[in-house]
Amino acid sequence: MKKTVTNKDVRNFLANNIVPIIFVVICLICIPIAGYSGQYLVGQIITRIMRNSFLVLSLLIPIMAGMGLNFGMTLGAMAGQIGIIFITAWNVVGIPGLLLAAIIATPIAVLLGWFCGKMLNMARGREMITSYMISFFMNGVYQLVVLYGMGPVIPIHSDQVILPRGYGVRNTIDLINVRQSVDSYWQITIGGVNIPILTIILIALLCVVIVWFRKTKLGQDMRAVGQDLEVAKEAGIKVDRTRILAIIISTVFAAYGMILYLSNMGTLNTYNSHSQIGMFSIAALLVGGASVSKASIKNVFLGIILFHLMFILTPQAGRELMGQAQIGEYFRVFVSYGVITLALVLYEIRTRREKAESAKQLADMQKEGARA
Amino acid sequence: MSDKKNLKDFFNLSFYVRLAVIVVVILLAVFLYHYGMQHTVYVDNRTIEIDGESYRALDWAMVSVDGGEEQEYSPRTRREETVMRQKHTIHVVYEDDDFNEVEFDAEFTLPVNQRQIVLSLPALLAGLDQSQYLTEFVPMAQQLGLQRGGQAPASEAAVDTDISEADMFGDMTMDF
Repeated sequence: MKKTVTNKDVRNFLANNIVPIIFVVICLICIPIAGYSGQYLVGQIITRIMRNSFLVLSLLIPIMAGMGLNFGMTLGAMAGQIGIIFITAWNVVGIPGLLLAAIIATPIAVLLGWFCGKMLNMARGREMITSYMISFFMNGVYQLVVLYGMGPVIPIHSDQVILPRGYGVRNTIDLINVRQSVDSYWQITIGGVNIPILTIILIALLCVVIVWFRKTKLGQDMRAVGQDLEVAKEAGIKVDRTRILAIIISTVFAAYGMILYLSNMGTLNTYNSHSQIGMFSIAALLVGGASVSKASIKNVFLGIILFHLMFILTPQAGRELMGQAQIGEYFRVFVSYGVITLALVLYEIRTRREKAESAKQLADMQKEGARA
Repeated sequence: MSDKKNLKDFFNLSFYVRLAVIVVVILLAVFLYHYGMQHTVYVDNRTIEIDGESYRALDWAMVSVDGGEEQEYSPRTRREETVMRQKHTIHVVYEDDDFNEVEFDAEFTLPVNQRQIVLSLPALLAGLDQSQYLTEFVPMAQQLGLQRGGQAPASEAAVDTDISEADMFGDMTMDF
């Protein structure tokens, strides 16, 4: 039997995918204006997928547990940065350095994730705004530690890291010793585009872990908690513990993702990198068609491709159109905030519509019952 | 009774497994720290005085560290080698006083906490102890106390601005 596509289906498809559709349209308009070659664009997209995938993938588990977008992933990013600061100060280089940074970052990320999870359990129903505020609060603590603690309290004496006054970490740290060490370890070139095999393996491994995790007991518990808290509690699931674990796992993955990101970039912006990365990772996920309550691996990669394609294209398109690359820079920053806003508004509209529809169905059923 | 049971519950198999994992991770971190630490070794061919005795620089030598590329050294040459880990080998080919080529191999272990180390070739070939041919490199600025934690730079002498117009350009006749 042939299925006919109704107007409602089209409307639903548009409503569910409005954000990716907008971005596809923006990119399609900008590609000819920017005038970049296909090879350059593919190379840039591959670089950015390798750089950001781990971070964006770390957002999936809290969404599965019904905790929305984890703005608290910046806590994990801070932990990753602390690991990177230590290995730079100790001059531990290459892949051993990155592994050591991951080992240092893990307990910090677990601790911060546990704290964030506890707080979010206290503010149930308002997880996103709470995690956003926690990230601001922790940013202050991080800055206190990094700006005043490192040097006199935490013994770091490397001139490469510490400011000339003897305490506090420099604003920018050159990560030349670990730069591209994962990407360049095993790399092949196809059509002039470098493809980092080891990074792809790591990202694929994380995807497999996430798919496998969904099928485990804990993963099933998280899905149950995400669907209905009360039902999950009635079923004997330790709801609070499950939610805390979701945030801890996300924070630890975010820490690893930040280490990979920084090794790819080759520079650490000590006081800003983590806050920027949280916002851009969430925006990328939403651009890929994810919502506050539903996200998949497919959304991650589509989001990174579209969002970063816009990042690459808009400055050049701005220069071609207006004679100023700065226009494109402004554009991409406000678009990332706009996307998050749009996704939150659409989620709220969709939730209300679903509630109204189910209420209408209930009312109809009651009417029919009364007639009978 | 219940305390005993609680303790038994606490020290169960999963506790020991977790403990073992933590120990393994800590050991891995220690290994990575030593394995991945990068040192800069300045192989130095200068005449050096140790304990009142002078060791003359080699007239000519070819040196390779860890089987790397051989590099030529003449007196007063200092070259930088960037190495990871602590244990290293050095291979030196040099000319003795009778112009015979002599090969020399040695192993050395770098101190963990020193990032920049000077390796003195004359001291190494004289068979001195490692603590004598390996010394920490201290940059000149740090030796003079100009870096972090050192003395503040000396304040400049005040410029005497009270100079008459005739003296402003000095004694011009002196130039001719």
